Parts: sequence; C-alpha cells; structure tokens
Amino acid sequence: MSTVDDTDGAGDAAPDHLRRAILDALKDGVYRTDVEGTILEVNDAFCALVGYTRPEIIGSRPPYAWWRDAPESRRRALDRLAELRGTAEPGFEFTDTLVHRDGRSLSVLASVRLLRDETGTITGSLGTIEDISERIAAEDRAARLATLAELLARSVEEDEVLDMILDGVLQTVPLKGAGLLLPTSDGDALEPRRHRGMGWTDDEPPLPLDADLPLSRAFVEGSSYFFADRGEMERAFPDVAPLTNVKDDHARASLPLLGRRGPAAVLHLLFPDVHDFPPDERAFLRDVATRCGLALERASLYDMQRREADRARRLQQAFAAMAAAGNPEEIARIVLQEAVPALGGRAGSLSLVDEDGTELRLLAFESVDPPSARGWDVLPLEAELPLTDAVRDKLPLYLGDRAAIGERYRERMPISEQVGDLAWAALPLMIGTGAIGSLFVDFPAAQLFDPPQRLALESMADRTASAIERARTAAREHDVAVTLQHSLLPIVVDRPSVQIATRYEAGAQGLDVGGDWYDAIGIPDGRIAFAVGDVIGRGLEAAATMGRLRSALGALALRGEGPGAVLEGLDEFARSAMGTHMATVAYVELQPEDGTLRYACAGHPSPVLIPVDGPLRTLDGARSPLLEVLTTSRSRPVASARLDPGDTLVLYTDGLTERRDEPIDTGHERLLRVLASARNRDPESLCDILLERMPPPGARHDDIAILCARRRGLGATIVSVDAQADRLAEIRATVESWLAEHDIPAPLRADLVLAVAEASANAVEHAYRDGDARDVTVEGAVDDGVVMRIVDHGTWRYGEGDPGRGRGMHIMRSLVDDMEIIRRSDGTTVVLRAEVASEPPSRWS
Amino acid sequence: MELSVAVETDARAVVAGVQGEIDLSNASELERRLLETLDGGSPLVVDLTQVAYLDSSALACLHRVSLAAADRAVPMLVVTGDHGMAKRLLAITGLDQVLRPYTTLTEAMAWLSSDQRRQ
Repeated sequence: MSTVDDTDGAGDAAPDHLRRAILDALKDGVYRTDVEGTILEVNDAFCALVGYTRPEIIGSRPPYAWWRDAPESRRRALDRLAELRGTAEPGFEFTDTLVHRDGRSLSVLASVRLLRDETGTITGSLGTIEDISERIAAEDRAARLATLAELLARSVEEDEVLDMILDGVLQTVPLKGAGLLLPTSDGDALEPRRHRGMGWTDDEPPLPLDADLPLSRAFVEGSSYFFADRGEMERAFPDVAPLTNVKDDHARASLPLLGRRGPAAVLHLLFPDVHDFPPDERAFLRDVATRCGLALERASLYDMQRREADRARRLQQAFAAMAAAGNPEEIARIVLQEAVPALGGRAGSLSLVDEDGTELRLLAFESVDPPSARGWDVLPLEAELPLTDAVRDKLPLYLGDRAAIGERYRERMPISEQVGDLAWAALPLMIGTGAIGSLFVDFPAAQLFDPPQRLALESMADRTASAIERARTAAREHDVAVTLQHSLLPIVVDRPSVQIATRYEAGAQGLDVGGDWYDAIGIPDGRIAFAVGDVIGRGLEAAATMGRLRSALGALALRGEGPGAVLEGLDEFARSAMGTHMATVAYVELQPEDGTLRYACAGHPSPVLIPVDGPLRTLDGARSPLLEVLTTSRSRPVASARLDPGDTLVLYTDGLTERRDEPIDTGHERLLRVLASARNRDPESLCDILLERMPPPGARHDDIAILCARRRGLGATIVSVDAQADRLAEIRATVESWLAEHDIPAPLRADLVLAVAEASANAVEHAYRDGDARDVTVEGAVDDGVVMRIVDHGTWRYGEGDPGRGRGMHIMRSLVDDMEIIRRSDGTTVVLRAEVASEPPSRWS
Repeated sequence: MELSVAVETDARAVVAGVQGEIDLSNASELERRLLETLDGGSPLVVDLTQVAYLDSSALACLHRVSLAAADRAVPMLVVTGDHGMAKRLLAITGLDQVLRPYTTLTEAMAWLSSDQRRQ
C-alpha cells in the first residue's frame, strides 16, 4: 500500500505557507486524508465547524469524533466512496450531520473527491464541508409554516379554528404545552379557551387585562414576550408568583394574535427546555402567531357575518311571530325573548300606558338581574325614568354607557360599580302621534348607537307598537263578538223524554266568531225541534244575523208545520232580512213518543244518528242548497228516520270537522270514528269528547256549534189499569212501592206519586168522556233521575174542563223538575221527570 | 176509597174531622158531607190533619164548599196540621189565601172565639 506522507507537491505548486493561507481563507471546511482516511490536513474553517483544534484533528481516523452518530446519508456515502475506487469518477456530494464538540448537531453539505497520482493510483481523498444548518432550519420552518397555514385554512368556524390553532402550534413548534386566551365578552379580561400541557384547569379564572403579567401585556401592547426560563420571567414581571420549585423549568413565549382591530387573542407557549430565543426563532414564532391571528380573524369575520345573518333571520321570525300573536302579553314575550337579544340586548321590559293615561304599567320583563324592571310595575307617567321619559317625550332615549346613564339618572338609579359597562335604550311605542307605552332595552356593554343600530331598534319598537295595537283591537272585538254570540244562543235543557247537550266554541282569533248557532224548540204538540246553523261570515254582523235567523226559525218551528215549511219560511226570511249573509241550517223534528224524526238540511253538514247498537247513520236524505238570498222560493225536501230509545242524534257545524288541509269527507269520516268510539256516552260527555278530539291541534280559526240529543230509554210498565176513578188508589200504591224499590227517597216519592196520580186523574176524567173506557198505563225509568210516563188513549187538552183540572196541572208542574205533554195521534202521554238529589231536601217542610 | 167524616158540633162550630184518602173517586162524597154541615148555620171547621192523601179533586171540593159557605155567610176554617200534604198543596195552589188554614184545631177554635167576641 503506498503511503503519501504529504501532498505538498513541493516544486510543482504554490509554496506551502501560501497554500495554507488560501485554504484558511475559505468559508467551507476543507480536509485531506490518505487512503485509510487518516486526516492529513485541514483548514481553519473545518476546525471551527467541528470545534476541535488542528493538532487534535490531524492524524485522526474514522470514525471521527464529530461522527458521534451515523446518519443513513453518511453510510451510503461511504459505500459509494468504496465503489468509486474502481471507476474513473472524481467524486460526489452528500448531506451529512456532524456533531460539534459542544454537542450541537450540524447539517453540512459534504463533497468528497478521490486523489490519484499520475498512474491513477488512489492516494487519498479531498473533502469540503459546508454548514447548511441555518438553511435547513429555515426550509424546515417554512415547510412547517406552510403546513400550519394549510391546517388553519380548513375551517372558518371559530370553535374549530381555536382547536386547529392549538393543534397546529403544537405540531409546528416543539412544545411542552400551549394555551390560547381570548378576551371575555365584556372585554375586561382574558379567558383560556384552549390549552394543553400547561397544567391549567378548565375553570381557570379570567386574567384581568390590567394585570402586569406577560399574557395581558402581550395582548394589550400587541407585542411578544420571550423568556429563556422562569427566572427571567419573574425578574421582568415581579407580579408573577415565584415558583419555589424550579426544577421543572421551561422557556416561555407570550405572543399576541393580531387581528384587523388589534390583538384578538394571546398564544402562550411552554417549551420543553430552557433556551434563549435567537432572532430567527423569534421571527419564526412571530410568523406562527401571524398565521394563527389571520385564521382567527377570518373566523371572527365569518362568525360576525353569520351572526349578522342569524340576527336578521331571528328578527324577521320575531316580527312574523309578533304579527301572528293573539295578545299583548305574547307579543311582549316575543319582543323581549327574541327580538331584543337579536339586537344585542341582554334584558328589557315592556310597559303600556294605562287607560287613564296617567300610569305606565309593566306588561313583561326579561332580565339577567332585574335592575331594569325592579320597582317598575306601575310608574306614574311623570316619573323621571327612561321608560316614562320616552313616553312623555315621544322620542327614543339612548344612553350609550355608564357615564351617560349616570349623568341623567344618577340619583334615581344608582348603578352598582360591580356590574360591567352597560348601555340603555328606551323606545316609545308610537301609534300615530301618541305613545301607548315604551320598550326598554339593557345592553351588556357600552353601545355606539350609530344610525343603523338606532334604525334597527326603532323599527323593532314600531313593529311592537303596531302588533300590540292590532292585538288589542282584535281582543276587544273578539270579546264583544263572543259575548254577543253567547247572549244570542239559547240555554237548552233536557226534556223528560230527551237528554240534550249543546256547545258553542268561538274561534281563537280576533273576529273569527259569530255565525254558528243551535236551538231546541218545544212544539206545542209535544214534538221537539233541533236546529244547528251557520251564518256565513264573521264578526258582530254575522252574530247579529245569526240571532235574527234563530228567532225566525223558532217562530216558524212553533207553527208545527214540519221541516219543509220551516226551511221554506227561512228562505223567505233570508231573502227579506239577511242582507248579504248566506246561511246553512240542519233542522230535525223529533216525536219523542214514537221516535219519529223528520229532517231537512239546507247546505249544512248532515246530522249523524248514533243507534244504541249497529252502524252509525248519516242523515243525508234531505239535502238542499243553503238558504238563498236571491233565488225564488222552492220547496225543500224532507226525509224521515227513527230515533229509538237510547239513540243519539248529533247536529254540528263544519268548524267541528273541517281542516284546511284535507277534503271535507275526511273530516266527516273522522267524526264518525270519534262518535263510534264514544257511542255509549251521554250527550254532555259526547259534546266534550267531540271538542277534545275533533278540531285540529293548535289555534282554531272557525267556530263550532254542536247539539247532541239522546232519546231516553223506555221505562218498565209499573201499572196498567182501566181508566176509572176507583183504580187511582191502586195506581198510587203500585207507583209508591215501585219508587221505593228503586230507592227513591221518601219525600220525592210522595211528590211523584201525587204527580202521577194527578196525571192519571186527568186521563180518568177527560180521556174517555165518550164512555169507551180504556186503560191508563204508568211507566217508570230511573237513570240520572226518575222519569214517569202516563200514557192514555184519549184526547184531552191542558186547561180543559173545570178549574180543578188546571189546578192539577199546576200541582204536577210544581212537584217535578220537568213535564212534557205529548199529543199522539191515538192519545196523550205525560212525561214527568225529577232529579234525584243525593241529599234530598225535605219537600214537606 | 177509605174516607170517613166525623162531624162534631159544639157551641162555637161544627168540626168535620176527615180521615183517609181523598181523590177523584170520593171527593164528591166529601163535598156532599161538608155541604150538609152548612145547613145549621154554624161555622165549619174542616180538620184535615188525619188525611193521608189528597189531590186536586179534594182541593176543588174544599174550594167549592168554601164558596157555598161564603154564600151563606158561614165562616169556614181548614186545619192542616204542621206537616203534610194538605198544607203543602194549599200553598202550591194558592188556596191558602182563600181557605184560611190553621195548623191546629185549637188555633182555629181560638180564632172563632175571638171572632164571636167581636160580633
């Protein structure tokens, strides 16, 4: 193996000292080795790069001291160097990582070329190393910043952006921990919003902005603070509580995240080690903060836009809800709970001027801590308070901050210094040129009250005022119409032979009332007429027309000419007296003795018959057009049906069945289902069930009238005897014992016996004056009362004969709760009905 | 029908004590018996306290008898007892305004005595 001690090349090159001077002038490190890798020569730059002296370096052999580790790149380079020996290639470049004597890693670009003699024999190698650590670090930082920027661009939602800032910073900078603090809503302090590895708890108290600490200073000044260790921070900021245990010490940086209008947040970084921050690292960390600040700024802009859009939408919804609201209380609730928060208010109250115009009465308030409503329930209008001032002046009152409020209302309304800054607006509720009340809004921070904000607030007050005025007008009209409607409807009571229940329910809104009606009329011959009708139209006029129509029907029914004549008479009436209103009516006459029904419907939903058993029947056999205003008279069809004992007849108006979004038939089918499910209920219960189950959920717009009539069950025959005076005692005795068997209390028993005897005496005395003596029958039934029927086959009239008989009728009426006299074609039936009191009063006292 | 009329006469009046039940079947009989007592010209006291049942026929009978008594200027008093159908029916029909009902026979007799003293 040839060895070359020196490659001075004396004689054929520059003198040795000159060559050394040239080498030492080079910035890059240069070294020369023999074929074994023993270093023969180095320049000054090489010594500086690796931190060893020339004597220490010369003569050292691989692995060198600065090769403390063996990167992949070097192993490949050494392999390649070996390969080169057999080729003619001069050399190559590679990157390597060296370790400086002080332990620092050093990235270098190394080049190596083989030295050969004239024969081509390899004599050694010549290498250079260039320090590229800074270049690599800069490239690395640039790449990490790009990655961070890419990550931060993934979202504009503030919450997600905060997550990404923390994640991104922890990925970008080698850290032990990081924390992100944003201003509190009142802007007086910073609160931790995200943190990891900081040792902070989740309910860390807010850090006041005026604290003399690096985080608050970084935010307020917009400048960055760097501390090599905790001691440096404690020296710079004596307010930092000194840590007694400093074993776990770290470098720190507090970096403001700058937005368009100054700092938007502070990023606090905790490093795993203690180190100084060289200028390039400071610049890098500032770059990181800038990227994060941009992302936060974008998020806050997006958030602001979204909040703005959201606010506008909430306001529109609130205004729409106000316009649909039925009463001032509901409107006030919507304004205070929906509109005021949408405009940035945190609390508010709404007061209305009373009827005398002397006081302002609180209608509603919403408050976090109700200073804005306390003691404001009733205020004299002359009180000097924002609410009353706004009403008196008829001008909005804007107090933009604590100072403005204090200046005007200091003595009357001392505001605790504990609460943050605030602002008030008091807005008069104007209708025309008058103020009907005022809306007070409390803001959680000082407000500019610039023209757009004022416009929004005043627009809210205007909408509120007109909604309240509309609701009040509607409520007044609705009340009047409902009162009128109820006053025009009859009180319908049970008959001895028929249980009757009626209902009228006004529509929920404004003037959606009036027009629907019901009636039950006793025709002198004992028939009972039932009618339910609907005057088409709403409001007071419809209610009044309904009243006239009902009177007309009652008068027509009393004539006893039957359903056809009644409807034809109503047609006449409609033409002459109903103006432009049209009307529908369902009219049914019941012969309560044999259950015969005769009915006719003029443009009205068909009545429904619920038999004791068997399918429900819709009485649609006599349909004809509604009561017409214009056409000439025509005859109305009439149909018949039968109401057997226990059967129920249901008449109703279309408000019960119709829903706006479905065909009429669907409503009728639903009615049949509901009735079938409740077929055994008494009429009162049936009405309640219909009102509960039939109308659509929510506010009803149409009014509803219902009439249910159930024919009482036939009673048992108690006694049937020849209509002879000497049989009256037998009737009395039998009835007495029947009543006793049915636990009818004694005083009522005596009354009923007397009443039955009087009715029987009528039959005896008058029914068979032609001498053709026949029987008199007494039937009885006990349900929720006692019903006694006295049936004969003669003809007699109330009031006929001597005054004693009239006295008898009078006695009967006095003794029972209800009495019916039904003239049949073949005789007369008297029906007596008495309630059974749970605690029977003594009738003989 | 069970009905009895016990007529007792003393210096002041004729007292007709009616017992049993009065209805359409026997009201005319009662009427006849009471009209008979008017013939003597003494005041008539109809004692209904022992009547178990009466109806509008009985009331009609009493009314007609009272009209006949008035024609003859004979005072007629009715004793109904404190409870019972008679008192109640007279009240219901308004006949208590015409027939001068008394609760007890003693009261009725006392009235007659004072009345006669005045005469």
